[in-house]
Amino acid sequence: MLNRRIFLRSSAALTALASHSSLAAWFPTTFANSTYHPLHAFIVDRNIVSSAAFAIAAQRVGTTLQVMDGDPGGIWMHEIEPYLKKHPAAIAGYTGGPTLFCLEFLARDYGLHLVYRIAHSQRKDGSFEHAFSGPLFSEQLPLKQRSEKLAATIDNSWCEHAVALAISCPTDVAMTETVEPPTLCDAAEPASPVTYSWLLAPNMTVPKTRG
Amino acid sequence: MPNPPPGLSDREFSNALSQLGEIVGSEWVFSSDEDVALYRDAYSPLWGEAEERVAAAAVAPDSVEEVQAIVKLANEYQLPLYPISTGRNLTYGGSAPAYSGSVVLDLKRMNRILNVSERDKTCLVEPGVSYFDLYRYLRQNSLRLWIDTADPGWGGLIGNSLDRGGGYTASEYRDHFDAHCGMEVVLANGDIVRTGMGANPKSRTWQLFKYGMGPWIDGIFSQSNYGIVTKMGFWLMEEPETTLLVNVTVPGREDVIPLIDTLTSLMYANIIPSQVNVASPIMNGSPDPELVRLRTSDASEQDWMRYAEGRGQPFWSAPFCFYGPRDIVAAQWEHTKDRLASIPGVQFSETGSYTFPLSDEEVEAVGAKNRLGIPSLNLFGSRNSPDAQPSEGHLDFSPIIAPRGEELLEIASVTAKVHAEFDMIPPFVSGSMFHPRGMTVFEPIPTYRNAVDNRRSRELFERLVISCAERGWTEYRVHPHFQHLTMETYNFGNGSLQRLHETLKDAIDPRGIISAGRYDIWPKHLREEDA
Repeated sequence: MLNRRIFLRSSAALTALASHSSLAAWFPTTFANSTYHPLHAFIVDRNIVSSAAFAIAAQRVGTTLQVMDGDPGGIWMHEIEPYLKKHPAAIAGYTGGPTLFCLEFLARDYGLHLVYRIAHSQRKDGSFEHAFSGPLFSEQLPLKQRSEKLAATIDNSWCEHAVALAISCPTDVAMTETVEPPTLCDAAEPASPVTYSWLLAPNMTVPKTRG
Repeated sequence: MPNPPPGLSDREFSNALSQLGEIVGSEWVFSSDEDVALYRDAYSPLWGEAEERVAAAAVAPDSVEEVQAIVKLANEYQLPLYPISTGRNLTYGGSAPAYSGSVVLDLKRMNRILNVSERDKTCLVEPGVSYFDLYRYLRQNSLRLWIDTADPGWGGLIGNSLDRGGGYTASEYRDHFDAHCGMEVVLANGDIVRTGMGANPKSRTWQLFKYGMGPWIDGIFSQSNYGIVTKMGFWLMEEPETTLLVNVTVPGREDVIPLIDTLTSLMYANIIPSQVNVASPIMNGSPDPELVRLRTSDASEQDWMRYAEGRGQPFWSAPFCFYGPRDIVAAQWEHTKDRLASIPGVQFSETGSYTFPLSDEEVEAVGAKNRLGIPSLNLFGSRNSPDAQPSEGHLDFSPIIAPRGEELLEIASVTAKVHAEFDMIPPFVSGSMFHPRGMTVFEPIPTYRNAVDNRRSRELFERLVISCAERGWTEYRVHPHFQHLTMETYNFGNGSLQRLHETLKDAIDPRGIISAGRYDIWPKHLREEDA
């Protein structure tokens, strides 16, 4: 349910997004009649490129930050699962593909599903390419569903925009029929492994299988 | 909505689902396309193809009584059930049924830790208890006990042990089926059986003495479909005072022969308590054309040594660890070094030393968590490497060999040549002592989301099964798609073992409702249809 706190946060985030001309076309000015779940935490893997920028961006908007060191087992076991047992909540993060795979798989037991994932691939010249996928970006919604490379001229504020998207987008989208693994970005000669920003959130159509 | 199970009409299936809802609550019966998609095998070698094994529905009971009621209903309708514990056995089939169209009996809601005894060093758990759950319980209650975890640690104790998985700590605990003591099983006729000392309703030793009296029946419930295990006891390791993690390397290819002979001798004498893994930093699965050439030809020892010397790495590396009081651990390590010193060029290193208990921060900092009984998802990290191939998953080809260096070399050569037939890179070479006397060789075979590549992987897997069986090496565990082929290699006495399996199945589950087809044990009515 949209409460005042989330609404205000969303509005601020949307304002920030709208100010960036390349991304403004992607996001509507309002998310009327949408459902939001409180974001429990933003997970960052300190071992991957740009993680520091994500961490700063998440802290700046007041999101609970959880930092992992390549292995999501510990934060799942001690932080996320105990919380999800008691409270339906969304989790977002910036991690490698295997971590997203693991958390997506585990979180299904608590009725969470993938809302979106964005693959980020760093080229050897240091610039990034971004590819969007997931049910959030369907044709039925005012956001686009396709793999699309944002212009390489986007500045490093893409980390802030990814965080803003995590806390501002609706979570009541229908899950996809199949659980797709993280797809590799179609980037030529990536300088490092592809990374992902993503959001998992409860959806009433996804059964919870743990009591 | 998915199709009904084979043999049931839409109406019968609908009625059955409705009655399942009356047993468990309708919110715990899953029958929409979206629900059922969650039970697909994420690593299926048949993804998206007609032969992919998929569930017709799923039901999640919360108690043994609900399981009994479901079994009774299943008998009435001849509804095929497929029990899963946590359903995360990804390289061996995951949560998808062996018989397509079965109703998955999802036991994850039965996730109670029923008893932990710090004094007896035992526990009794339900099928939905994961390694994460039990580890968290031990930490939160400050119990000085360790689990022995599978890798990755997201699976369930019962599911992993029933599929005879293994771990990393001391020998009494890392063969997970061997480490169990007592189980409770719901049979196809609805009876609840407690095995071992549990058959005495007042027993004080259910988790202490395995055998009870009369035939030891527990084994028939592992890798089978003779019952639904609803409780299982395990022995737990007392937290040691210290742990010392070490590594031994040897430079030459054939040094693996004295290396493994000495390590196993020390293991059998309880000098080395932990799992030992013998892996080759040289034969590491790299696509280097020269390495592939060496592995797929009858290269000379000189050719190999020239290649290895050029890489500046030892040919073999064997990590393991010691547990116990500091002075005893030190003595065990010194003795181990003395025994291995005769191998020219052997090198020893200490890679970690811990004194227990560890703080939460210290636990997080541990690298080799599995060797300290700490469940992790580190194994998935290997998919992050820049050299990782963009496949979507893998199967584990896992034959058992005698723990001898010459056999490890031989199987590495055999399987490398099979990979070459399919134009695929031979994987890394390693042998692990998860179980007491057999060495497990793991070779990941990639799976994809397209039929062409998956067909090649399946054909490769089948050739590996056959090539290795011809040489006396058979698998200890396998994905359901290959269970028929693999069980056929266990064909002594013109298939007498298979006939025994079927005789038991017909007696214990005459309607064939539990896990039809698991490990190629089919109920009578499906054998007759197939014939």
